[in-house]
Amino acid sequence: MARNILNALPELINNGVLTEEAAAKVRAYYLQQEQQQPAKTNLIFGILGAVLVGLGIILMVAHNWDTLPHAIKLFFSFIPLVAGQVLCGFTLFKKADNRTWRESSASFLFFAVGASIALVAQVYHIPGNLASFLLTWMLLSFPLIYIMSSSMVSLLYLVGITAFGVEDGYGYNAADNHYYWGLLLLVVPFYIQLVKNKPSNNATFFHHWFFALSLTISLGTVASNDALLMPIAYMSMFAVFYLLGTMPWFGFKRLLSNGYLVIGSLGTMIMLLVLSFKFFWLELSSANNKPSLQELLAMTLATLAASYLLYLQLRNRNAAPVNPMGFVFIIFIAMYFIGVGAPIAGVILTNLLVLAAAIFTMQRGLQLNHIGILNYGLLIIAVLVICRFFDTNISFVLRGLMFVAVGAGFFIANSRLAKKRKQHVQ
Amino acid sequence: MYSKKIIWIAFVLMVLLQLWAPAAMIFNKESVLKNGKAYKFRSAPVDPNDPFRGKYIVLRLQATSFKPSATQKWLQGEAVYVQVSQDSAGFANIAALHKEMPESSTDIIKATINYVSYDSLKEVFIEWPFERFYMEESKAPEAEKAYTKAAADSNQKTYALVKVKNGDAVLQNVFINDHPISYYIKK
Repeated sequence: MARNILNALPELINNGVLTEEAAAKVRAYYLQQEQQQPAKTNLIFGILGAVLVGLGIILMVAHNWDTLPHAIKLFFSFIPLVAGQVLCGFTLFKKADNRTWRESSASFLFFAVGASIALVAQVYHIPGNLASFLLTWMLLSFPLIYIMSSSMVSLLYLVGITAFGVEDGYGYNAADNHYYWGLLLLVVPFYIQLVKNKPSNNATFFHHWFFALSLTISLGTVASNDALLMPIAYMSMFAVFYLLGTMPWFGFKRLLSNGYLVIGSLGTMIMLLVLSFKFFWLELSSANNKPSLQELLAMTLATLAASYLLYLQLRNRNAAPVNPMGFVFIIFIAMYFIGVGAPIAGVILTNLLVLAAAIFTMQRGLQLNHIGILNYGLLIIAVLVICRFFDTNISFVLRGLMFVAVGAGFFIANSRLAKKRKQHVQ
Repeated sequence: MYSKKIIWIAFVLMVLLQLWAPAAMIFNKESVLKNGKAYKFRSAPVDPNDPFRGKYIVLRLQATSFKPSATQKWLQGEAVYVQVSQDSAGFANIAALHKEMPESSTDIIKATINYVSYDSLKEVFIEWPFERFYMEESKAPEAEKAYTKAAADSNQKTYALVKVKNGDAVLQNVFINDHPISYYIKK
């Protein structure tokens, strides 16, 4: 990109588009950018190197050198740990301002901690399930996030606690302790600092994605047997993501950096599509178990947070219309309570809500002259139609007509947008 | 961001904690191995994988179920203090289950309730804290073969040697007919 612009400069000056002075400024700008580049490359390779060496040590540990006596194996389990600690100490002492040193020494120590506990557990044949191993590892490593101010360790920690949450909270023999939420709280202050101090840094963008993904994966651990309130809890949480993603002060420029918007929007649509089937509503109306307290709590907190964010957006909109997608969670809650008494009404209303959201998205795509948004709306309708394809009680003729209509819609909408763009250019 | 002094204090605390965790594990387990009472648990094995700790044999221990008195209620996943005793052939048996650590703690192993069967007779199944024996990755499959063969042959005795102290248990070795399993791999 920079190369192309620099190469085009002489032509632009010759044709009088840019003055010599402006061209010199452009050159100086890119020169400065280029000088900053090596630091960034160093950082990436430094972290990558530390992560690979760390993972390599874990694999070598896993080989289990059982010809070596216990004492030597135990001695080796401390070597990477101490080496990592010395590296981190040196970095704090001599290179505290060097991000490459901080990030790579902290990442290395993160893996060394895991390797040393694993090796000791192996020597004594401690079966200790994966969850308790991950819990110990994460608790011993989280201070690194703050002491070394390392966003890489913070991301690794998020992955680790999510794996712990899944291992501990889902499935047969799931624990009822919900430590995941406490572990998540430990990293929140660091995240808030990142958002405040470096809002448009790549590390911050990664944190948005990792936070949203971790929460999406782990919210289900609070579900009780019937999980009746979970659809509302998830819907409200996706609304929180969506509304955060559209907040102006987050400074999102590209869709790729905006994990909240992507996960919030996709999550809402996927939830609605799943709930557009009959099974959920029939189960809901026939369930007799009461939901658990933590499920109720998760639902209430998520809904309150979404409502507050929506209120903030309505207050600060400056006459600009608020995106109706932000209201979907409220409509869904109303539908949910109608559906408890009349399941068929719930099914029909959900289908209508998906249809409305899709039409709105397409209209917005046309308005903003954005092919991506337009086709996202069409895709939602297409998936809705495919889901209905499996409903055996809709006649073949009707289903056929639905498919033809959506296919035609793709052609018409896209060609309309193309025409509009041509007119714009002319 | 933070003052230097606080960072250094936090750093030293973290370093000590990271060293203490594995060291405490080592001291604890060494003391059980050195001073613990030995028990033999009859078993049969299978060989899976652990991404972090490598290859191991899963021991299918025979003494896992117990019928407690009707007054005791047990829940799946709950911690349990198992009192063990020896049968006439010298192998370990479950003698009683306790909710709390009993005063006389020489024959007690802390374990978890794997599941409770409510069929005709209420029966409790125990998950022992020594059901894995870690081995070098190339040896684990061979050890498994030797072990499965021995376990299928009813004339052969396969058992796990476990040291017990203060409720803690450490798996010391796995034996087939009184030879450690490494003996069968070399053969």
